[in-house]
Amino acid sequence: MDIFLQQLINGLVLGSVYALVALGYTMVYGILELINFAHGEITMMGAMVALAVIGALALAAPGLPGVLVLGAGLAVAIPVCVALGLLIERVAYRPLRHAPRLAPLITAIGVSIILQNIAMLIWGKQYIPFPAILPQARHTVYGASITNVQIAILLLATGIMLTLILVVRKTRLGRAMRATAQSRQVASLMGVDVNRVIAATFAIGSALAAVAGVMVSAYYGLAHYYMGFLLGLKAFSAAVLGGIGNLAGAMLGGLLLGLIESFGAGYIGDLTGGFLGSNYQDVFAFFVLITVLVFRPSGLLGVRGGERA
Amino acid sequence: MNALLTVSGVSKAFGGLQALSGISLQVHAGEIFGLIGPNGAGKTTLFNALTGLYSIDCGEIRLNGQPIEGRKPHQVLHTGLARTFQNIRLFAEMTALENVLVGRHARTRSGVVGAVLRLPATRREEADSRERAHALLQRVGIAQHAHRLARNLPYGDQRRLEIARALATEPVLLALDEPAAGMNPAERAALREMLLQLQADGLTLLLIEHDVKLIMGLCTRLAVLDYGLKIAEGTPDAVCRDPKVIAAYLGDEAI
Repeated sequence: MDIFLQQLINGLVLGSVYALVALGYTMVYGILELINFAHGEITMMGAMVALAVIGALALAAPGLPGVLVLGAGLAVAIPVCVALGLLIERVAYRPLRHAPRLAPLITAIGVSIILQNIAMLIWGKQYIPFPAILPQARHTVYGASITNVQIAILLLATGIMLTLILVVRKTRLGRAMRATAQSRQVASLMGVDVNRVIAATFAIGSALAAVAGVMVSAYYGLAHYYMGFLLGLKAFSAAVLGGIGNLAGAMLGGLLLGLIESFGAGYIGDLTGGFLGSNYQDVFAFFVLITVLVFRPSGLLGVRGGERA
Repeated sequence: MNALLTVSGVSKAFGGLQALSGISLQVHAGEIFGLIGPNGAGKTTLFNALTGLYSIDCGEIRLNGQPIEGRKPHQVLHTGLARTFQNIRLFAEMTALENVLVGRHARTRSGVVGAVLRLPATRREEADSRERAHALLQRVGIAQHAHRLARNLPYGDQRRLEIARALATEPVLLALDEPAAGMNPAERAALREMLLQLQADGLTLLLIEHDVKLIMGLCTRLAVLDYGLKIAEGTPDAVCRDPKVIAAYLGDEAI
């Protein structure tokens, strides 16, 4: 029972990070039908920038409370990632708005490689440890343990996702996003500045990615210039699993993927009699992606089923 | 009478097809101006050119004295020209009310930060938008459908919703592309009453329509297009008697 609960907690934490990143993929896809493969690298940039700020603060003002240091890291990482997302949209995607769909897709892969290399030049090839600035308290719940960092990730991710749902459902921008997703042309004829809405979508997605990047590097205690690749690919799988273009689908897909990975890693050793170990964790995401694409290409909630944005 | 919309020498070609050849016309403030002609005459092309969807090859379009050619659709809408579509183009996955609220977009300004922080100014604006949107749904007679998805509305009500959405943008000129298409006689009569009411409220209407009876009874003046050329313009009576119009469009029995 306690192992089950432990894997459930780990899966939910990991899943909520995937969900935040998956939302960025799905929002952009909903509006532009573009898979923004550079999105994973924005996540990495968020982690790297936050780490740089945290490192600088540790030198400049040692003894500052950990929450403040982390908050400062986020406060810099978010605007940097938003600016980066806006720049990428403006420079790499907008000029190709009316090009065949393959062109922006390849550009996205190119942008992602560029960002990886920029990060490698700035921060080097080595793994960068994420300093343990938060109090590492563990709480025991029914035999399973949950750390402060995990609790913070769960609360923050839930809050952000609820806010996003409200923004998309209830606000002027959210309506404009949904209208643009359904028909760019009609939305613009009804007075919506489509370019601004698309830019806002990239901005929101990049902000979520920044937060997710900080979360994941705080959780694993590491950051690396290549971390965005696998994270992005998994979050993309989560978005496809839930039905790409669908907000609720991205959240569901992210959580499911986190749980599948966590339970898979936890039980695969027992199930295969020790033949396969938990280092096969990463395989599950792609196994799920392939299975979904074969049996239910539109994803669990499908593009047409829910609200697109 | 002063000209609200002035179209002068507008041409548009698609490859070898000359869709509009040197079209000039004036729509005066407060009138209902009809645009008729056989299928493929260029009526919808002219609408698309007016609303910024198509760039024009040459000519000039002025609304309220301001040039609007070369502007993007949302900028044209800001100057006060809204439209409906021949083949209904609602936001199918949004409710009727939300469709009208999208129409309010150009006339509101609150950002997402204000919405998240629930600032008083944003909440006031949102409440005001909702009130106006409800009033518009009431005005076109579909208030009971406010919270239904647009795609689930009956056909005639979808047409009305398109009008409500266009009205929400606070236009000075409303361009309607075949608003009576597919309507039964009772719905047509109701539409006619609604359009006259809009005119009485000070709105100028530009109307593409194939229902000759409706358009002759409703319009103050009209223009006839054929193969991208304007072949006649004037009062319904004068246009009806024009031999060129009879040959191209009305046929002999219309007299």
